Amino acid sequence: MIKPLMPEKVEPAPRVLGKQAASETSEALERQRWRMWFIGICFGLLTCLVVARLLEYQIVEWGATTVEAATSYELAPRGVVVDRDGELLAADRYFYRVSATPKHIRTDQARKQVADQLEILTGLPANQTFNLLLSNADREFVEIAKTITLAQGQKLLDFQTKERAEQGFSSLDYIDLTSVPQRYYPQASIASHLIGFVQADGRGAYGLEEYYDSFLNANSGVGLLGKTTDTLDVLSPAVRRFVPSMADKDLVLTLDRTVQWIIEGELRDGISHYGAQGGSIIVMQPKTGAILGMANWPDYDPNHFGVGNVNFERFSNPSISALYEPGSIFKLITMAAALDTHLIEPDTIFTDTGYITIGDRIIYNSSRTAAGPVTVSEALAQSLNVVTAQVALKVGSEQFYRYVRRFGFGELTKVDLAGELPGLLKTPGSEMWSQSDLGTNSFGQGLAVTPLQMVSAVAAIANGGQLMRPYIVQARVHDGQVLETKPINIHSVIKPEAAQALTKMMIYVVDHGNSAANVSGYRIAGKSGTAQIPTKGGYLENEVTASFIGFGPVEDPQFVMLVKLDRPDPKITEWANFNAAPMFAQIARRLFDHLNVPPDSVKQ
Amino acid sequence: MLQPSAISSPISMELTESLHQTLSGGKIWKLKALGLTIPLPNTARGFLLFLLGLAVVCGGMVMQITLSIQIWQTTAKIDKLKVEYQGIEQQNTAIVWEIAQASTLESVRQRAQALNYKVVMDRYYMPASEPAYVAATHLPQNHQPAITGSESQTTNSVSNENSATDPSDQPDQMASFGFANNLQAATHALRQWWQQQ
Repeated sequence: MIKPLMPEKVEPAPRVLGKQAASETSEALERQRWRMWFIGICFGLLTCLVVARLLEYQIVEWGATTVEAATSYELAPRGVVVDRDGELLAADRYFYRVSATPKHIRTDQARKQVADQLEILTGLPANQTFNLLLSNADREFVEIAKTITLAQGQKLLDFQTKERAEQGFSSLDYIDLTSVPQRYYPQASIASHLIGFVQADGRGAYGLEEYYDSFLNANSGVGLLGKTTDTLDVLSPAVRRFVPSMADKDLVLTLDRTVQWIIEGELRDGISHYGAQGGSIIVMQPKTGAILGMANWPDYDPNHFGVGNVNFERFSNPSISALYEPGSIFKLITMAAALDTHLIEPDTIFTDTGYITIGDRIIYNSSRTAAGPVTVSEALAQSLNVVTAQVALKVGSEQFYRYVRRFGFGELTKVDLAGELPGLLKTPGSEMWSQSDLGTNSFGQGLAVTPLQMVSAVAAIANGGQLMRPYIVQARVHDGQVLETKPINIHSVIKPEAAQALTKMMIYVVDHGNSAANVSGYRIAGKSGTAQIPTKGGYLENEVTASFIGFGPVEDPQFVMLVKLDRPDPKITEWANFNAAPMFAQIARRLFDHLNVPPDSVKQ
Repeated sequence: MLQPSAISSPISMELTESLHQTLSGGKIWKLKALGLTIPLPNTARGFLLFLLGLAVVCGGMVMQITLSIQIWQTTAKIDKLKVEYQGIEQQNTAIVWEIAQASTLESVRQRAQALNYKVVMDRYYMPASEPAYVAATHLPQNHQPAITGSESQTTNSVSNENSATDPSDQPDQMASFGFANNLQAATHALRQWWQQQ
């Protein structure tokens, strides 16, 4: 109850004044009422206006703001991989996955209608769709088609949109489209070991796809933060055809597709011609460590990696993960150590007695003959095991293994590829090592290396003694920024004079020993090696690994190349001088052409 | 203690009276109660100021709502454009796939083979001043159209059948070469004369 405000005792005001006051009060009240109405109407109208607009946006125009598209990605998009010339090596292609909610399609008539409509729009067989819907009638989800093309999917989406606009619902309301990226490799098997592939769950496996999995994945959040980057202008127009991609996380490789094409073709031909079981070829720039090509056989097509009986061994890259005894090409390392320590010169004479005993082991030449007094260059050209062992003894085990380590053997090259192995190297001090290992190791037996380690080591000789870290990714592109890979000089392995002297010896080898590796018009330095294959029970009879490693042109080496053949048919020829060396020459000739390297005579 | 009733004013008295009546009668109680709780200014100037203040507050509210709607609309538009963009990008991937399929070295090789080109294994070097038709004479007589492994190299080193392997074509070519040179020189001279004029 409201208490009266009037006091009990108030002195009454004069009568006349009271009437005037009452009149004024009445006017004031009237005026106040009018003002209240004015304000009420004005702001009431304003409120109505705002409410009307809100209703318009929330109800009438609701459809205009909803997005009609299949935009959800179950798999994250991945960036593209291109070679140094911008040729596409790996990319995503989009498809639609068709799924349904059969639980809400209750009657047979509705199922038939959906199935028929899907067949008209996408070509999916109506019977199959009907059966799927029927057999999964109580389920929330069923996949009707793994992939349909974008055009088919768009037709379906358009149909749904049209029906919804016309009648407020669609007969295909319970059919969903999901956009699904699918990785493809347009070059098929080219560089398959190097690139790897993407598994069904979207994760990269092997090669670059695995090594750069986090970077290539558009949703991973891994970028180029905190690094010195350039703008996209540093990329050539050819590269910018496909870069940046939709995922905006792309790789530009040092790989040259044509070099890769040449070496893969020649490797295939060579293996077929010499009856080998497999092989590898690596081409690398000695000055930078950039890999121009890396071929292995047998290879596989990453577009169909899971077809048939999957043999996982096929997927690993033999160039970085298959260990082998290098054989005579390792003599280059022994000579490098001796030259760098000034213990020998190219014309230092040693006497080849046909055999030498080191520790508990007698070492023979492969020909089982004695060459007598020979210079070191001649010994290298004739690939004399005995002289090489003598040189190793002269260097001493401590120095010898120090050089072997410095050349990068027994440890990872840290190339940006997944699955690399460090090799096997016994060194003095370890239980397994004995004095005889010094002798056998000096000509590449009793240790295991990867082809890439061997290429990297010889690249150091071609590069004046500077060991470069091999790499395959030239640039990473993300968010309008480019992070270029700068060549990394690991350390100086031997002095430039020693490298020069060894190069001369290698030229001598090609001129007098491995003449099959000669390329007309160009000076080539190299060395062949035919190594027996070790097993637990000893070395295999008539099964060898034949290889040739070299570089050219000598004055300004453009590439170092290793040609390696696994188990060439001894009935044809097992000697590297007659299989790997001519293959080297053939490839080198084509590479000189492709890389626009003029003959020595033209340059002078 | 100061009580409301202590204010001796005829207006307040009348108001109190009126309120009392209203409370018992109850016709326009709400409006009067509001007028009493939040009294409006008595003067026109005061009322205008009051209106102005109220308009500013309400204007702010309307602006807030309008901007929210605009942001909402723009967000929706951006989402729509994003979807369109993704659609275009997805279509682009299909085009890229087609380009990639057509430009693989294998397909280039097959096309070249179909056109009867062969792989060149040796290059012929010549002085830069030597005209192209002279270079053609350096080629072996049995020289065939050629390809190499790459597209780029194909353009570098391919010589097709029109490159005059047949010596009988050479005089005509030399004649046409000379005529072209003369024509070019005459045109140049004419252009210079015209510019001087």
